[in-house]
Amino acid sequence: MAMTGLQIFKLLPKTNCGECGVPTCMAFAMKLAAKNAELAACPYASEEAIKTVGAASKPPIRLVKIGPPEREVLIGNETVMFRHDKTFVHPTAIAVAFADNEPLTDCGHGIAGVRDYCLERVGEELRINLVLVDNFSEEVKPFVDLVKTAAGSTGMGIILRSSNLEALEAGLKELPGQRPLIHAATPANADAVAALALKYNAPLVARAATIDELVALTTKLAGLGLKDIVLDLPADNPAATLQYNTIIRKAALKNSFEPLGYPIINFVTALDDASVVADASTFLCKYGSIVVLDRVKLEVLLPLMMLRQNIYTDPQKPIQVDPKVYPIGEIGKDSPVLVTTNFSLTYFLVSGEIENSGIPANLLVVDTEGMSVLTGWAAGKFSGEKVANAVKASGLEEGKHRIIIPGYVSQISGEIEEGLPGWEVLVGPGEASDLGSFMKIQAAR
Amino acid sequence: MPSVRFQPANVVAEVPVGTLINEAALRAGILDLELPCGGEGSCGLCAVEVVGRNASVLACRTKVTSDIVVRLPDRSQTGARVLGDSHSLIDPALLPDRDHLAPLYRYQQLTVPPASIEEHYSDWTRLTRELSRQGGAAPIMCELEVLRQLAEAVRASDGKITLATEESVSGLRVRDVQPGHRLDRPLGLAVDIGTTTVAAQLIDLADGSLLATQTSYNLQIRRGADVISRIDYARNPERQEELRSLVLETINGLIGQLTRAVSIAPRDIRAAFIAGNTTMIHLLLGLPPRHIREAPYVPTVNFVPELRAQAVGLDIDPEAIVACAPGVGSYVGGDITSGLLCTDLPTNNRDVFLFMDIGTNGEIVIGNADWMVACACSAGPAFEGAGIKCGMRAAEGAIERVSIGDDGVAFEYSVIGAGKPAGICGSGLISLLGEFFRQGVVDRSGRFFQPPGSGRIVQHESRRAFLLATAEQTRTGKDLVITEADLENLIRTKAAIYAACSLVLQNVGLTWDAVARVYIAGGFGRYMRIADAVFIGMLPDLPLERFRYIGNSSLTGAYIALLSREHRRRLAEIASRITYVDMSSNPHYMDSYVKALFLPHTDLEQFPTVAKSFESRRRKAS
Repeated sequence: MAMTGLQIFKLLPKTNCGECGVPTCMAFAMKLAAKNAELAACPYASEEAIKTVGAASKPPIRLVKIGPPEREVLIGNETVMFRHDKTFVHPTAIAVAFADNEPLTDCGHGIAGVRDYCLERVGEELRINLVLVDNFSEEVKPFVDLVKTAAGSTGMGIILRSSNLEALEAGLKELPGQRPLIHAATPANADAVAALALKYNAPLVARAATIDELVALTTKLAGLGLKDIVLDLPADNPAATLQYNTIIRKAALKNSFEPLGYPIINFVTALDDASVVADASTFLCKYGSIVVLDRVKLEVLLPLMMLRQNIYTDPQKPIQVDPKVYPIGEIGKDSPVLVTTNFSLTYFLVSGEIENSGIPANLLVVDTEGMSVLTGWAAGKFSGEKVANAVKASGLEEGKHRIIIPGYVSQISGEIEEGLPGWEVLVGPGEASDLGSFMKIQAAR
Repeated sequence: MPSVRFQPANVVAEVPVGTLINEAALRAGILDLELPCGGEGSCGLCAVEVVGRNASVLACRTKVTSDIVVRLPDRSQTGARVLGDSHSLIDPALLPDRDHLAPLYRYQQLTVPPASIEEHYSDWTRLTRELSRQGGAAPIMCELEVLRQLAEAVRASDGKITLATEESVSGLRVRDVQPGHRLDRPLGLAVDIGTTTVAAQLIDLADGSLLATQTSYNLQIRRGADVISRIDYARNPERQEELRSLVLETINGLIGQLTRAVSIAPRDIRAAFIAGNTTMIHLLLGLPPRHIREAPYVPTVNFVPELRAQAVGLDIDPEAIVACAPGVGSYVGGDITSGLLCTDLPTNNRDVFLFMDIGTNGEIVIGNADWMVACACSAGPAFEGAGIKCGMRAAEGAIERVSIGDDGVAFEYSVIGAGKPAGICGSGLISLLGEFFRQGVVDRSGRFFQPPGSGRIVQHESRRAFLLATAEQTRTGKDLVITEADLENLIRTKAAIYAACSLVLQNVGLTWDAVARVYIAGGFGRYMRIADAVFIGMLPDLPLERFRYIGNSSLTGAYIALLSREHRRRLAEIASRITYVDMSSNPHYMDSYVKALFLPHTDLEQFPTVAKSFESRRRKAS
């Protein structure tokens, strides 16, 4: 169970020596509780502290690393059921499956599609993360050939799916140091697959038909010394998968139930595009750490990539808009310039009110690192000097505009006037909701 | 030069054409024209009337061009708040033992044993051995002049000498030596520099008795109401120097009043102990304050070394020692460490206590002898009257408490100093909000239930308002009202305080139940009813006996530290033990704050007592 700062503090030496890099033991304890520090930083931690804090700080869901270092995929380490409780940590990895009984040329083309797929959105590149190679032929050679092609062409992490131990080992040999994910250890072959995973230092999937069997299987694997496990609990329909995923996540987080404290892999089996998107979306939202699709289709990937980006954006970090000039409406020579900060909520409120007023205006967004007006001002990021510099850098023509600043920072009007000779600085209303009537009065002037 | 006559004080200033009215007021000796916005023309609190022109203008924006008569609003005539003997509010066990004082500066009578051929230790060694034997701090240092006088002094009166010593955290320094046992009584000064109010006490260092207390507004107010405005104002060296001289003017004014009151010369004050928030101390010492405000929020100094009065600019003995209460960081300063001396939070090793100092900034410390965690929040100046239509400080003429009848109309109030009201102060506002909510005048978001025209509800500048007193009933000759905008402001302030407290608890993994005692410090709370503050959700819903109001603890703490070496040592220890938590970077602060923006709170489970009385009232109504 997670410990509070105070509980951890009681185990620390309480000397406030500062050697851990923070000034007091309490500060260090709070950092440990927030998982922003390692107990190892304290040179005087007692045996008891190391044992207790170590056990408590063990993540409830194991962090599993898949793939070569340069394209490494991290999954697990989640700490909450709902994103608004804190944040989701590692985005669901999207994998695409290829079978080794199809002509290699077809596969090659598909694999290039996986490699080249890239969607750019809000400054981020959204891509496919893993390739699953399915030993459909149950023969070694086609499997190894496809593994070579897939890994060589994409450079991505590979999921090796086979029930043929020989084929699995041959695949593993082709990928030294690339941490492919082995699919799968089952109650029937657990010992043999576990031996392979240990020999090649690869993570593996534990697959069982029921939750009880899965618990028994992961307990056995953990007993054999395996740590990097991914859970696979096949279900008849997506609703059942959703239910399993939720039970697993709850057991891991709420009950600290170690046999289920691992990330989950889900397979999308639907055939029509709409169902594929619906099923995959469900797994993305509810606790699938890897979602496997069986083809690359833009119209399927687009909504999934956007959904994933939205869910895994940290709600704790203020969302920012680009600091620049946003013209709203038909800008004329005398259109006023309104100034605000680049906290997205502030921006949307202000720009919305300007649009509603029907009066064209330039909205100059100043970079305040995502802080709102008063917070930015208090932290010195929305000072008169910063605003004046932003106006100068904006390329807005001098002397033709009035500049309107938020009413809550009327203090900076003098400093802006000093920095911007020739500009008329007006103090606007404190609340954006009063902006419409304010602009109408100004326009009538 | 045009002359400006100020009414009703009837004082005149002659000023050059183009001088602002507020500058002219200053020259006329009127010091309390309020400029919370720093003279930017945005707050409107400095509105004055130009007689004969029938015009109300902003003193900070209006230039004098010819002879005029200016009528000041009545409330800028009200005197400084009366500060009672706040020592009586704290547990006497926390005050230093008067029989064993070790003040910052004192006269010590010693008898230095004579030297002999066998025991041929030097004069200085014999003196220091005697000092150590009496429990003096180490190391012992002295002025060259003391050594020059020493041989003569120890031999003049059979080894009887009187030493003037300073005992600071860094050791003991002998400042003077005189032959014989002398009975002079040195004086000391304790100062609390608040953002709004400065308070000072004159103390007899020989026995710790309090000779006089004075308070005054911090003259820096006219350059901004809160620390951020001051830091903003001090952005260039000239303005920084202006703020330094304004606070010095304030303190030296107080020193003048104190010394006149007991007929002594300021030069007889040999030591001063100063507590203030980090920004106030920086401005006093002429240190640039801008880095306090900018990330990563690092001040120039937390532990100020001992200084000399002359260098600081205090009008006392130029060589007097000046010590400052150590701070924790940019937003938890020496006023808080000093305030903690007035509580047993840092020494109790059983329970968890919470200390809150409520001013324009609210600071909160939670913990005990093992650990202490502090945070600061911006409460805003609403409880000091700023930003509230008819708000004022807790001074003569302020409504300090109200009661509303069960019909929601019958309305009574009490005024500080009796007489007609001029405005409403912090405790009155808390009482008012509590009564509004208790009697069903407002809903949980602070909106009036009834439309204008019903009961005491009126329309005021497009918002609904509650009529406290009609024009005939007030000193100002204007209606006193509380608008919905005022209520929103108050709710924001109380929400900030409660949210910060809740979050700091959450940060250490505790709930309110674990808090055995809550200390409340601050000037406004003097008349504050804890029950009202709980009812509106500013303070947690705990049994009332867990709360302790301790007044201006920063000043009392400075008094204690001036007199006791043990407490000075404890202060340094407190400052180094406190863990500061930055709320501005805490993503949950906004959540906590928004949840607290209701009366008493969005989550009624946190206020079971209030919820219960709320329910029973609703049942009664239906």
